[in-house]
Amino acid sequence: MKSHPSQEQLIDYLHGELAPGEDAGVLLHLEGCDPCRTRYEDEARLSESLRSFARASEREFPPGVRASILSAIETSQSQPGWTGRLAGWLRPVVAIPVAAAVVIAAFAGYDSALHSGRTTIDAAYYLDDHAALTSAVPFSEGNIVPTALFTTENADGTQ
Amino acid sequence: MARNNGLLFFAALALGVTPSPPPPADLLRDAMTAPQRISYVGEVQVLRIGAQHSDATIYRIEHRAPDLTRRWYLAPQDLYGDSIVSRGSTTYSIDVKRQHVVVSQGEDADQQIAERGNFDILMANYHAVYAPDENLSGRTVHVVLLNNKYTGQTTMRVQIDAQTHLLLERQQYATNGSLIAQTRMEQIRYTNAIPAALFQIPSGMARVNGAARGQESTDVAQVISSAGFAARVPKYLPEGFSPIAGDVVSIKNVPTLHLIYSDGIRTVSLFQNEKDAAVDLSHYRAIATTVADHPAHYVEEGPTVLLAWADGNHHFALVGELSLEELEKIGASVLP
Repeated sequence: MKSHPSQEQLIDYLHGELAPGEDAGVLLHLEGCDPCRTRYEDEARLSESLRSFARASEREFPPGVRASILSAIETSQSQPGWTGRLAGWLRPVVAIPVAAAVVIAAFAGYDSALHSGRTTIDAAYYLDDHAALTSAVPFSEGNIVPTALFTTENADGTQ
Repeated sequence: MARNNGLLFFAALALGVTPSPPPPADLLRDAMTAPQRISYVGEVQVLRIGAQHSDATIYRIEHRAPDLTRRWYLAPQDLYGDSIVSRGSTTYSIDVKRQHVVVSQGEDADQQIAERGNFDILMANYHAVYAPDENLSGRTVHVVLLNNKYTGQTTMRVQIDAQTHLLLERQQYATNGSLIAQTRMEQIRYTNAIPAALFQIPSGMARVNGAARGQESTDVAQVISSAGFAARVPKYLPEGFSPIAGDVVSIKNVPTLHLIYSDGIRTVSLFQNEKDAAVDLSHYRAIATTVADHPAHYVEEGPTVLLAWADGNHHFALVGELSLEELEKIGASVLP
């Protein structure tokens, strides 16, 4: 590749989206062109920051959420007839969104409790400290990968 | 004198002399200290196998005796290019993606003393017996099985280079006999020609301090009394387990007591605080369970299980390579 790769090409190269021939051309170019390598590294850093942010923001429903929804569906389907008018409210078309809303509200409550200012300690710290202290045990694996290499949290607990 | 020993050692290597094995306990003791006198390069593969998922780590290793080591990660993909440099008791975790170096301080001298004490615990709880020699990556290895004295089961199998006494492979088994961890050295090459420059820390990267660690001590009673709160200890431990170390550290201004128990191979840590600081499991797939009727959650990282629960403002976390059932049993005995 004689000309400098475009920004789009660099981004596609970073994500392995280029065709093999074009990919090899960009690689060769980067090895000999400092300005383009700097652009590439800037792009890689930005990409990694976004990925770290996405990882840190990623959340899963707490255990039991799926079970709660399924339980709500089952309950709505097995209501006896004597409930009459009430049964109308428990039809799946109504009950499922209601159950989901309740569960999401509960999840939000759980989430806000976690971030309500009450101190929490990341489980990674305990796993890491356990591995560090077991390194004095004969033939232990010790710390294969220190937390420092895969957490976004600093030593003082800040991000 | 040390130089002469080194020359004799490499002369023996060149002649291909394989001495007859010493008693297994002596070989194990020698293997523990081999890295202090032998320099080598190779590739290490680590497998950690859990009930829910397993993980594999591969890194290149360059070790210059006695205490310079560099690990350069090849896998998993997220770690590719990152490295760890250990210079004496200081460890530098070099994160190329985030362009920073995390500096952590260890306690080598204390650790060597602790290792000797823990080796005695190992020998008190395990029978070391030879299995037939094998060949690993072209080198003859002595195979030693460590059989638990209480259950009779093989808990660990180690393969030790017959000439250098360097540990080349270790396998650890769960109580049901399944393999839970394997570490294997491949492409091993013994050499004294490892340039010191290899262990330099790259300049131009931001340096940050690693997570604060407490002053680790083997005087567990003293550590407990220094916790600053009414610490609890387990009334039940699996056979052969005893307290081996502990520390008190302030995490986010929360005094946290860490006690570690071991039978010489298997270990379990008990963390506790009395400041209502819960364990944040949000980055993990946490599963609900109970500890003596208290709601609890556990997560798995390969064969390591973390079990967290609370009793009022007193929060606990047990971490170890034991089964969930064993951890729950230990946890239940922690409660008053």
